[in-house]
Amino acid sequence: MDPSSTAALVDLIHRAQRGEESAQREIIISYQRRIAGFIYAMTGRSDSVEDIAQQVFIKMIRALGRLQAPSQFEPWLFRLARNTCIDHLRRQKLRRIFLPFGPEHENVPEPPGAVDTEELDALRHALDHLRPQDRALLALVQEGRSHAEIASTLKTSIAAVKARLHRAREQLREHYQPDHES
Amino acid sequence: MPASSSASITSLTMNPENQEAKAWAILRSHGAAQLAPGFPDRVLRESLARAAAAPSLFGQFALSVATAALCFLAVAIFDARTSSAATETNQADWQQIASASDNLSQAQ
Repeated sequence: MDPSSTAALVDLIHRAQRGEESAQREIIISYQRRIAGFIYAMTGRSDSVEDIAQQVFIKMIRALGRLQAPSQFEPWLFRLARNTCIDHLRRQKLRRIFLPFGPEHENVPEPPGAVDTEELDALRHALDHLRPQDRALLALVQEGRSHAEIASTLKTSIAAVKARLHRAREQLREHYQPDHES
Repeated sequence: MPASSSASITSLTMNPENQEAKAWAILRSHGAAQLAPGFPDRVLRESLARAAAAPSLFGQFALSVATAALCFLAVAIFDARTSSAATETNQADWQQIASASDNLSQAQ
C-alpha cells in the first residue's frame, strides 16, 4: 500500500479499526521503518529501537478504535511515538536516580558497529544536547511533515512550532560538528 | 582512490546543510535497520497476548471497589481512634474544671 494515498490509507485504517489483522499488519509494514528511524533520532540508542517500536504499534492497535479522523492517522501515530519515547527517556532518568549505578553506566557506549559514520556520530552527539521535545520536532521535520502537521501532532499552534523549530535548529548547529570542523 | 579518502573529500567539500541532511538520512536508515525480520508478526502476537492477559472490566471495577473500601476503613479506624482519644482528654479536662469549681464554691 502507498501510505501517501489518502483514500487508500483511510480505507486501511477503517479496516484496521474493525479489527482486521491483515490491515493492522499492513499498517505496521508501511510505517515500521519511519517509526524506527524516528525512535532512533529521539533516543539515540540502537538497542531500544525495536522495544519502543513494538510498544508504539501495540498502543496503536489498542487505541485505533478511538481515532475519530482516519485522515489524521499519521500525525496521531507520530504523536504516539513521540510520547512513548518521552516516557521511555523519563523512566530511564528515574532508573538512574533510584538504581545504584555509577557514573560509568550513565552513557553506556553503543554496541560495536552500531555507529558507522562520522556524520551519524556527530549528529547523535548534537541531538544528545537537545531536549527530547526538540529532538522530536527536528525528527518530524526530517520526516517531511509540514509546520501545520507538526502543530497538529504536538497539539500546538503553527507559530509556536516555527519558534521552537528555529531555537532547536540553532541549538543543533551549535553542537553539530562533524570531525573535520572540530 | 580508497573509498574512505573519497568519502572524506566529499564531506570536506559538502556544505554544512547537505552534510546535516546526509547525517539525518543515515540516522533514519540506521534506526530502521534495527528492526529484526518478522517485526509485524511479533507486534501482532504480543498485542493479542496482552489483550488476553488484560483484566476484564468487572475485574478492574472490583479492584477499584476493594481499594476504595480499604481506604474508607482505614480512614474510619483512624478517625475513631483520634476522636476517642480527644474525648478522653476533654473529659479529663472537664473533670478538673468541675473539681476546681467545686473547691471554689466550698471555699466561698
